[in-house]
Amino acid sequence: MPALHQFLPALAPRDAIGAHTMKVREVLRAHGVESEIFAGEVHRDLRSEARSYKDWAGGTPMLYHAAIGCALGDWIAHRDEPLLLDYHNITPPEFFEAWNPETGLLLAQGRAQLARVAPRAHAGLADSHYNACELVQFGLSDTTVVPVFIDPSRWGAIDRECRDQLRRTKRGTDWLFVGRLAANKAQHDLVCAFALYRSVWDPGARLWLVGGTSAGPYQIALEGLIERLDLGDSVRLAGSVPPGELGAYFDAADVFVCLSDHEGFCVPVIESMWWGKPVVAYAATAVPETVGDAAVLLEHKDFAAVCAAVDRVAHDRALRDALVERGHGRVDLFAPERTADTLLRALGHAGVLG
Amino acid sequence: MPTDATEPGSAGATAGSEVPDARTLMAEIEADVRAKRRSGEIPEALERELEGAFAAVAPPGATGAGFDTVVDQAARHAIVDYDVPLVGKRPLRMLKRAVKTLTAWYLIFVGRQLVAFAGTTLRALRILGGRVDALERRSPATDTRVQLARAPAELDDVSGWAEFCITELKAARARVVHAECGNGALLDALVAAGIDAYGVDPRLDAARVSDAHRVEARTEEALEHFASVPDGDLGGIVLSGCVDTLVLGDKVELVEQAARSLAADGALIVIGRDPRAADSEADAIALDLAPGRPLHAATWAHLLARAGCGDVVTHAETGARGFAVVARRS
Repeated sequence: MPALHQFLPALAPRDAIGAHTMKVREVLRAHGVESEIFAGEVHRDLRSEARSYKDWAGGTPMLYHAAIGCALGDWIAHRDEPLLLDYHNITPPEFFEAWNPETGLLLAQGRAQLARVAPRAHAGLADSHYNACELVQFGLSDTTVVPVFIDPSRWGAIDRECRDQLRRTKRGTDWLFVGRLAANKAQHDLVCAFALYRSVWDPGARLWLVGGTSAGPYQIALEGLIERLDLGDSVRLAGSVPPGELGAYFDAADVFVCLSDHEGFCVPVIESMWWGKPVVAYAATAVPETVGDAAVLLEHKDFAAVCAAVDRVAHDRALRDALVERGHGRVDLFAPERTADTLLRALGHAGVLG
Repeated sequence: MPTDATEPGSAGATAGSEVPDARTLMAEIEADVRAKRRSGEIPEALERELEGAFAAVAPPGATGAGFDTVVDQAARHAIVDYDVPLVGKRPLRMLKRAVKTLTAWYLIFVGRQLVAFAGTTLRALRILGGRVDALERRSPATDTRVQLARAPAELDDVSGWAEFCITELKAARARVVHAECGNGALLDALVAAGIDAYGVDPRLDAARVSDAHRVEARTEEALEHFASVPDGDLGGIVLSGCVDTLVLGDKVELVEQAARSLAADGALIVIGRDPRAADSEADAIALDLAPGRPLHAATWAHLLARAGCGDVVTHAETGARGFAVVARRS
């Protein structure tokens, strides 16, 4: 029986790379490939799913999910077994250096490790063409785009009480963005654009920023910005919320607005499309290829243009319907069955399935 | 898909109307913004305030602050705080106080070495920063005094090359960019000839050029623009203006980035001044104070070939004041 074991820095619940890794294992096993997960750190709730990489016996091909600097990255660099890289993108450290220097150092370490590991890898997988290009720059030219596994069956839960409360208090257009609070996600630009929108277009508008934080000082600065712009309760930092509450935000929002400066894929825009919400996004890094023609893409981050685009999408029913319909097409494009086929083809091409 | 997804609020909805393509939609959105700015509906002061609002609440160095600010930030982090906070309930607080007292001599000993190391490193950084400042003051490309002394540039008019450019670019299979597009006259001619072209120039009021010529113009450095263009994305490129004034290293970078951005068979046209004629130009002040000097046509031909372009041909302007070098991405 062929074997392909997976390695990742950390396996944690509600983590996109962790969920992707477990789905890859499921696909491999369904196709008769022996596959286990080995991680640098394993969350206590997932100890039945993975073991420490130090327990691995060696001797079979490895699939390494590169995400951040860790001891596992150095260990991988010194192994002799056939190696495949799955690159989920490592945020450039400069986005974190001023906010969370430790994370900045880990990201820099991750990129340095990737530069050592990539040239010796057999083949690469990447979530997007943007990531694939980066992997090629790191020295791995044989790279195939295999999107991150998205599992819509996990979406759809709605905390009705939360949704009804959001609807009852509606006074205008409701903006939503989902993603951890971090400088590369540029929630500060969202807040500034939103302040202009409330001032010029719609004084009853609200902005919901859903997601935990990866840099406390960034959240503090964001709170300072909200206060400075006198936005009060119109901006809600909801934090990390359970699936039902997240569903309530998606269901109640009018427009999903993404002004991220750096994304390796951006799953929340696909989730928003699944919920039938139109997307306005800044065309940075992998965002344009993820949204395709199913979003209003802004080439420049001009706050006034962001507002005008949001307002157009919120009030032009024909445009909104067209975006929503195209969005459903994008969701189908990233369906898990399709991704599984792409993955198996890529692994077959790499010659690791025997 | 969710079965109970709700319809968002939709006052003024236009169900049944035609949905514009992405480019038309963006043009409409930008026109809407321009109209609101012109009418004063979008207050200029608010836009200015928003541009700087985040920098006012962000820590030093977080929003692209300079070297000195970041070194100052590092200096603040370089001081070890020995005074460990004693929080918690009474027995725990007392235990912490005892540990603090007992280990103070050790922490202070180690901490002083860390502070000494950080202080020395910071001093080395400041010396290095001083040397870089001195070097920058000696370079026309980076000396802020030279930049301030520069006369306000007249926006170039290279529309004399319109017919030539239209011939070379009419078969372009993707968008064409003119960087720097100057007063927009050549861009206007390209668009009038049915070529899907847009312009880039850091000196212009993009909105004014767009309004005057009904073309798409962006206020952006040419080099900065090409850095954001994907490989092979452009059907044709016209370079002018900056090709005469950038420092040599930036000129080489510009050609390489432009060639990379060009689709196969796309034309790259450099419209430059002949350096032998440049001395007698009317705008001598602008040329003298520019960081770089015009290059000969043969040099551009060499740089284009070096960047991977083929079929390089030079065309001299009547009176030999300028030239156009055209090459194609092989």
